[in-house]
Amino acid sequence: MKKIGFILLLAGMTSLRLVAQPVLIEEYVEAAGLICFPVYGDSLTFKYLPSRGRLATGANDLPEFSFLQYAMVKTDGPATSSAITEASGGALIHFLVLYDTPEDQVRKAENELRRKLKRRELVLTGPVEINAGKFMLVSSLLVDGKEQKELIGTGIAPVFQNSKVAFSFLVEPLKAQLLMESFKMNTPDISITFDLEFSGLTSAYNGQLVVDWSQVQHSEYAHESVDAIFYSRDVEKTFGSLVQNGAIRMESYGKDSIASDLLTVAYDRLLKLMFDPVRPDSIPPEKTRGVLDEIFGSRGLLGSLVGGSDIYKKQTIRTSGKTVVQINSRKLVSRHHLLTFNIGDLHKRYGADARIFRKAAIDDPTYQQREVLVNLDGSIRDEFENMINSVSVTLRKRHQNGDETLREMFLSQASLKDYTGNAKMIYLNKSDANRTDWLQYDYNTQWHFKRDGSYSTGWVSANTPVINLHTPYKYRRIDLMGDMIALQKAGIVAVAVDIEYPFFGNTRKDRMTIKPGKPGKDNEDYSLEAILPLGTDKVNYKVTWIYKEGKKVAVSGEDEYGVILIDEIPVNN
Amino acid sequence: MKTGLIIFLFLPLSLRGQLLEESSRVAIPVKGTTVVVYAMADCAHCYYYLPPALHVSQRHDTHVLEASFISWEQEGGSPAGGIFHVLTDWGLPAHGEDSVQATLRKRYDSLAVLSGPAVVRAAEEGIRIVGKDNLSTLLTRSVQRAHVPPTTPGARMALSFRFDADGVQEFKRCLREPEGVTAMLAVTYYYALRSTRGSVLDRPVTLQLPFKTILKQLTVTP
Repeated sequence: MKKIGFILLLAGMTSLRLVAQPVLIEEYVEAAGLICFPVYGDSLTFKYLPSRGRLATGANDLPEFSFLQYAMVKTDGPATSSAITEASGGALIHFLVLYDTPEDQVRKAENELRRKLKRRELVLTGPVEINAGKFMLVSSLLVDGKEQKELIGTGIAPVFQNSKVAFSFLVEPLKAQLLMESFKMNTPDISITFDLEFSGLTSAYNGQLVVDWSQVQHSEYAHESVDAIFYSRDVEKTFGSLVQNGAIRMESYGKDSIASDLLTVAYDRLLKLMFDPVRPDSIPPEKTRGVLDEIFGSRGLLGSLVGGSDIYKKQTIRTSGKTVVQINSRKLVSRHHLLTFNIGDLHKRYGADARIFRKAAIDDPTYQQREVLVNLDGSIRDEFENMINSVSVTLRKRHQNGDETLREMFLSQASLKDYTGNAKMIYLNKSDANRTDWLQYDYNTQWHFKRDGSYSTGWVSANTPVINLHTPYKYRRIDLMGDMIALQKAGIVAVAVDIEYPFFGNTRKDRMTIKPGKPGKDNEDYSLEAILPLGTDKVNYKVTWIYKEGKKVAVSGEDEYGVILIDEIPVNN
Repeated sequence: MKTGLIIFLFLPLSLRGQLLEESSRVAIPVKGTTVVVYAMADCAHCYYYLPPALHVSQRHDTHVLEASFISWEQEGGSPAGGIFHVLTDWGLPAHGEDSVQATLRKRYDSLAVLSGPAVVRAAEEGIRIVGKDNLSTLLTRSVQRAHVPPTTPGARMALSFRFDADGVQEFKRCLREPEGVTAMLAVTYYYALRSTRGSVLDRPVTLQLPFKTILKQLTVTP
């Protein structure tokens, strides 16, 4: 009977692995640190649960673990006054883990089992079949935040021991430093848990349930109305009193028959014999009970035994005779085996081994770039209001492999609004083996003026990381100085001063006429303003004196000091 | 045929599996821990032990305690954060099984076989941090761990705590003055017991590990 029940049980299984020789899950023995289960139907064959999780090892027994700290030149940091700044970088950590059982532990366990159970022919054949597995990473440094816990901190573990699970993390500099310090400790902040699910058969239960209906007639239950509502707690009380007055008897057979599973099944059978489940929403409101009853009637107390509804009505019952229910079965149940380990004092053992721990400065020229910042002089912004229409800077880099890189930056009054002070042009390293030459580049600045054409600086060689952009001209005030009274006495009614000077291919001209006889403002200064290209200091001028009678006398000259005297009338006029 | 009357005084909640006999209870002191063993119902000489005290794990190879604390500072030396990592497990002390079996045979049952740990299931709340001091609050809010505790001896559970600047100061204060710490790590397991009256009970056993003990051990961890 027991075997038939088991065969039926197996017939319902879909997993081939489960069909293969299940273990008796409650009859395990601990031996040499291993939890060992007998195989169903073969009391001399045992299987064990994997006993340890660990880092996988490769050639030369080296742990399959690497921690690479790397540093790179930081290119986008804010400008600081310090010449030594923090580089960019981080760390890459990669490791493989597995769970297994040491062979010598298996052999020791086998011997201990033989000794404990006094069976010399007993064998410990292999690990218990794992149906499903999960892994969990326990680390505050590597797993940070709820989302990350779910994405990285957990995953599916292999079902066969010695199969590996790989972890890989790229961490920022602070975490890299903390991890490094953590690795130097005996118990770093990285532990891994394998949650392994396996299944086996419970102990056999074998018995019968006898309901004596004539005895049931003498119970309160028999006198309840057919409409009475029974919550799970009522059902429990009813069974209790029926057992006490002998209406229900449970008989068990065999050595290991009375187990809680037997009670579970018996309860279930009794429930089906004597009660009908009721849908909660079908109960009239006047018959519903308080919150406590609802709670106790919920699946919390008896749900796992009863299943389905927690509210019942009495069935129409027999008044005489007996009902005998045979209960014979084993159950296939799942259990979880947790294996947790810490990755341990790796740094103590392998800190000097560059195959495990390595620091690297990532400065391969291939990955380097040159940034040339274009810095605008403060006065330029105003000049876009006055003189400048636009300015463009072109950078030309001739690489050592013959390639040429051109970069351009353009500024106008409109784009100036978005200028944040971080305008830069970048070129790469293209086989520029000579690092000094790599820094060398040419640039050309093209100015477009609002009225006076344009100006190109031509290609200028440079190797500095900054191109300072300033206006290619300067303002020069030219004071017109003289004794107005003397000019009046000399019969001069007006003095005209003309200046002219070259301006990027054009000639700029300006004129001022002074009337000595006309009262001006107090302490009035007369002056002209010249806009001179950088490198130009001289202005050509011509002063013309006009007499009352219309006569004109003129003198021309060149000024480089910013002063033209207007009362020095030529004597030979 | 053996006939038994089962009294449904206490129906089990979700018991399945190994049933221990209440009347067979024996408490045996082993190396400062009291180990409680029961014979299995229907197997009078097969004894199983309940999970004894929880303790900080030791590495199998070096026997170094598996606990660490690391803290870091901001520029200027003010605390910035810290991480406390600890692994715990339960089980008999070394050679404890032989000792328990020998005592059992000598004093109670000459045919006794200590078969192993009792089948237990962990309470749904899993690993708890209990206590009303500041450290309890701090540890509860900063813990990262697998929720389900192990149910076999020697199997570890790992906990990692990450502290902010305030937290690390409080933790360091507790390290300096562990005596005032009331926080405890607690795990409750259930096992199936058949009472002397025949009822089947789902009995709890709660293991506690005071953080005071962990902190004292942590300060001497190399």
